[in-house]
Amino acid sequence: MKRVYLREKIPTYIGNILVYGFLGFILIVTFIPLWNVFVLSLNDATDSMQGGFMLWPRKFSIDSYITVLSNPEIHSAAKVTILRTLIGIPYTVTIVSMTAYVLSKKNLIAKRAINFFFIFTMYFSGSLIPTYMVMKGLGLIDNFLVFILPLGMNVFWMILVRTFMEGLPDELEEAAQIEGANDIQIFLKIVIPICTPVLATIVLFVAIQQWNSWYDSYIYTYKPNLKTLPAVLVKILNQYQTKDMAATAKAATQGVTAESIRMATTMVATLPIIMIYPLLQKFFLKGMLLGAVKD
Amino acid sequence: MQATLKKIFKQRYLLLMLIPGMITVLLFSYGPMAGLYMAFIDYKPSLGNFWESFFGSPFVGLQWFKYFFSGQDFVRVLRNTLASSVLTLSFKFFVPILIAVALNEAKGKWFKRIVQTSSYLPYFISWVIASNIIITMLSSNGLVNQLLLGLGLIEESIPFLQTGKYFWGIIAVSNTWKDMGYDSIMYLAAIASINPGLFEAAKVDGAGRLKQIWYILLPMLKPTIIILLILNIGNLMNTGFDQFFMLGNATTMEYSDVIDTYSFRYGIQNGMFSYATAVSLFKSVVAFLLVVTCNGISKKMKSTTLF
Amino acid sequence: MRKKSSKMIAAILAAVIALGGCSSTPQTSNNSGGNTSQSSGSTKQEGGSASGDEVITLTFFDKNTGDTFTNAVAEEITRRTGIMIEIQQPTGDPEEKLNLMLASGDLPDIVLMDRRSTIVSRYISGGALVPLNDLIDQYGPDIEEMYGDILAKSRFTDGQNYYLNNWYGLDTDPDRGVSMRMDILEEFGYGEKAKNGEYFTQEEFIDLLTQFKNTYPTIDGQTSIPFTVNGDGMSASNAGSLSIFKGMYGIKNYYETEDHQIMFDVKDPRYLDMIKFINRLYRDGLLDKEWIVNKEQSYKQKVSSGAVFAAGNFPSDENRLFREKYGEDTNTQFYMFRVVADGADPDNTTFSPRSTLGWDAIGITVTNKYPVETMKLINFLVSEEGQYLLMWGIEGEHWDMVDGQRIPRPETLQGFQDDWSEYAKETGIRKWTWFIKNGYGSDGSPYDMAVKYERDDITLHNIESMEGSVWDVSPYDNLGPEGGTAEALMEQKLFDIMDKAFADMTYADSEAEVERLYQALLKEMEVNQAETIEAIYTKTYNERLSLWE
Repeated sequence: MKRVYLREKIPTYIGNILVYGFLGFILIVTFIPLWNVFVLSLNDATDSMQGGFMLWPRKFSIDSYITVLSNPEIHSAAKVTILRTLIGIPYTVTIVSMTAYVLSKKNLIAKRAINFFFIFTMYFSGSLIPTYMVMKGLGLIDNFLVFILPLGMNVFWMILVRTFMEGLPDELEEAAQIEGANDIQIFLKIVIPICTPVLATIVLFVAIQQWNSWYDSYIYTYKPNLKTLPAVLVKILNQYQTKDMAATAKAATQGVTAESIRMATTMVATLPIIMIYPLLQKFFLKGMLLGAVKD
Repeated sequence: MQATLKKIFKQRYLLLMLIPGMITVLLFSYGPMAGLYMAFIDYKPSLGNFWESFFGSPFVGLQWFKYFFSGQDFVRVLRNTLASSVLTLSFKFFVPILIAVALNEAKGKWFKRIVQTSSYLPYFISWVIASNIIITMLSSNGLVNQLLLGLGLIEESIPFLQTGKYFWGIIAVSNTWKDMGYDSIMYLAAIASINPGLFEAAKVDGAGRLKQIWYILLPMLKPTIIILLILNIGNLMNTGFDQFFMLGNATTMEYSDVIDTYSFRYGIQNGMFSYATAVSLFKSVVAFLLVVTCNGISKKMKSTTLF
Repeated sequence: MRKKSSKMIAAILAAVIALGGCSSTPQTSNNSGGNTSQSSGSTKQEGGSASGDEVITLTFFDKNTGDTFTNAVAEEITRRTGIMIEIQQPTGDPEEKLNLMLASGDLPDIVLMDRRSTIVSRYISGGALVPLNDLIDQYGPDIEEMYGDILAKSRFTDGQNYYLNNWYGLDTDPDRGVSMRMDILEEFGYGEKAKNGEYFTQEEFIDLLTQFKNTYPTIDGQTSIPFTVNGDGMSASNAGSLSIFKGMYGIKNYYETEDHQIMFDVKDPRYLDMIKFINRLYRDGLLDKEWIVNKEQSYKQKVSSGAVFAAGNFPSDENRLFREKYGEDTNTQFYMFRVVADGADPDNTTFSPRSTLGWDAIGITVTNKYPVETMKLINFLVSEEGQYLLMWGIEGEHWDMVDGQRIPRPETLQGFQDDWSEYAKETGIRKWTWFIKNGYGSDGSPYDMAVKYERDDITLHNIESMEGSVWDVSPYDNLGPEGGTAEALMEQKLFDIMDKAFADMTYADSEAEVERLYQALLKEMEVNQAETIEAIYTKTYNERLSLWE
């Protein structure tokens, strides 16, 4: 055990104060607003109107949740959203990582052109109507696959993964090539296992994107059984902001208002995704590379 | 020629793996791109064969662009867009890095997990709710004013949301707050990929924490940082619409009116698709030029490049 | 990692296969065994059932309704007309989807649009809607009867009707005014006047606000706010809260001269007085300093906190909060009042704009394969019988006919009292708001049972106190230039100029400053082609008037 000298201790203390202080600050500014949303959602709706910062519900009530969750369309919408998330994740992660791997190879033929091919689409895209017509031409209107296929490739994420893969030491692959493995095998057996942190990131990103998607169900689908969870939540919210003033005035005898519904729907939409992150955090462990090189 | 074919054969598996991605992009990104032609015609949606009415619409050349550029408003709007984006970028770019580095330095599994998860919660709060939170906090008897008054820094409440010159700052801070956790995830993953052996070796050589961060961690993050910087600069024209719409009002209009809100009022509201496409095309061209320029600079500096 | 991935792949394949059937499972399959229009024992065959035994399903794009067509009223409609409706509700901006449907040709069978929006003329000129006149002549006798001259007023430039209005007929109930708290009014000696539903003069109003401010500088630790409004409704293009100020002066959304010239409202001779009034309130600390930042949520928060005496948009939710807090009979509630500006006519205030031509337009699209059956359905719904079905429920179940008078059952009224949205959803009463007429049926009962049959005290008071404040805005709808033209740009620029000037003027430091800014505004508008736009307004308006004669 080395003796730690005083002059080394002070910087450590200061460093710790800075680090923990900063993280503590981040924790407070990010957690408290969401906690407030959570508390408001569990608060009696009329009382919630007054706003105000609360650490605990003033008047506990689960009415807002009941209104949201008892909506019959929620269940079908939840199924759609869960399914598209479960399918979308492996589909998109596969395509993105494969593409990234290929583009990370130094000597890839026509590499610049192919990179350009992808990157160009990040800045130039067709607008709503032409995109709709393409989907229509491909038979994807009112089709579940419209939630999966177009989202198969995300250039931004691909570049992220590519950057990671470019940073991998060449010895890894060379070793495998000497043993006669082809590109696909190298990809599957060597590169993927090492890239778990960045792949976990992409899994998270895809999950969030799929879970929160409502725009595509609004634009490309008409059948009620293809509506996604966020779409239904937005619809519920709109119901409470009806422009029919007479009805709203009369409906004011209810126990729920737009505000409380908004809070409850935020929680319903957010909670599942928030729960995924901790599950993926174990992939953010250090040292994945270490083991591989030693092999 | 022969050499090329040989190369293709050698890389056949690679090219095979490229196919799904390329097809997806070809179908879903390049396909609709033909629609950009809409920016140069006077398209009015009407029934009947889409392609017929599309290509049959009168060609108007740069009319919509002129429409967009005309008037002194355009310069102001462009200024607002760039100013708020640049200010946002300067805040928002660094905070996620700081968070990732700090999390890496901290000990305590549970503390780290909690902070990490909490940091990306604001990403999920819609701008409607977020703006309400911000409006309440910045109101004359809101948290911020109370703090400033209590500390004796000001004598009277500052009407933040009614003073144009604070607007860009408010946007920068709120954008940062909203996205910092989400953005930090990428850096965390990058840090996790660093060979711990490097840190070990440095420690043995007597390097303290700060030196380790400066000489090992950050350089290892450099490719990621540079790529993200280039991509973000390319995104300067896309300020987002919601926060400007919600937080701005007539008194701050001079600072809060950006390309997206301006084109919303002047065209998109009336379903003027051609106009909207023209604006979008303009933004795309500028963004692309920015990216290519930054990429070129990075190349000259022998740094990581996008392509 | 490998094991996990192969399991995942298996699961995915299974799911994809299962889903392969999903996308093609139409909502319609549930009607093949369902209601037939010839249910035995059914005596009510009028209303036009579909020829044949099957029930037809029509798709209906309706931005207002979001439910499935499966409640008591819905089933009754299907039973009587043989038509089942599949509702398509957009979750986002309905106009975006409408434009998309038009461009792609993926139209629903029936479409509901905002009548005042350009999308209507776009659909018509785009050839998406079926001209209805022949159909109405043949199958729509009730339509002609119920709509009357509204049909003539809703014609397109080619003389044909392409849509039927929804919520037509003048609703005479006021929907906005100056809302003030009764308990404060009583405290300061205006209780009698308030209860009698009399109007308040400008001076009385200012006096009240000042007294409030002086007596209660703070309430519950918060600075008191004598008067606040929702900032969202104070612009040229969205004048919800602004109409409260305009109402005081009898200003409408445009200024109309004696010889039917239409000009921007800022040119109304009383406009400057109004601005000076608002500015004075601000300078005297009587108006919420932050009114322009108020979005709905902050507005509600302030009003419900008890620190506000007078408000703009009628605070029904906040009233409910007060009742919960202080008891059902509490006086701490907001009531609506007329505040009449100096020199304005108390019997002709303009607080509540209403439209005889209604808010929505419902049309039959050219992709509809059953226009005749659809018209029969529409005729049924439009008829008095249909209207009562839609708004009152099923006779014998939700209401009864007693001596030629329709009486709703107590459970029905109670249902709406207890949980409006749930009850409407469950029964279908006042859920399918299609072709709704404002007004009274042949037996004198109001069509809109849920809102108008039983009114609470506050509403009754409001109706009395706001007498004469409702005016018909329909002649002034959509006078502007067509979207996409250079003139439309000019108009928007003028709106922007007016909004900015409005904000500047109300926040000005002195009355002289207001005057200066006002003159500057008029000048700037002139420079920016205000007269060109006004000429368009005038022309459209006069053309419309002659069309309506």
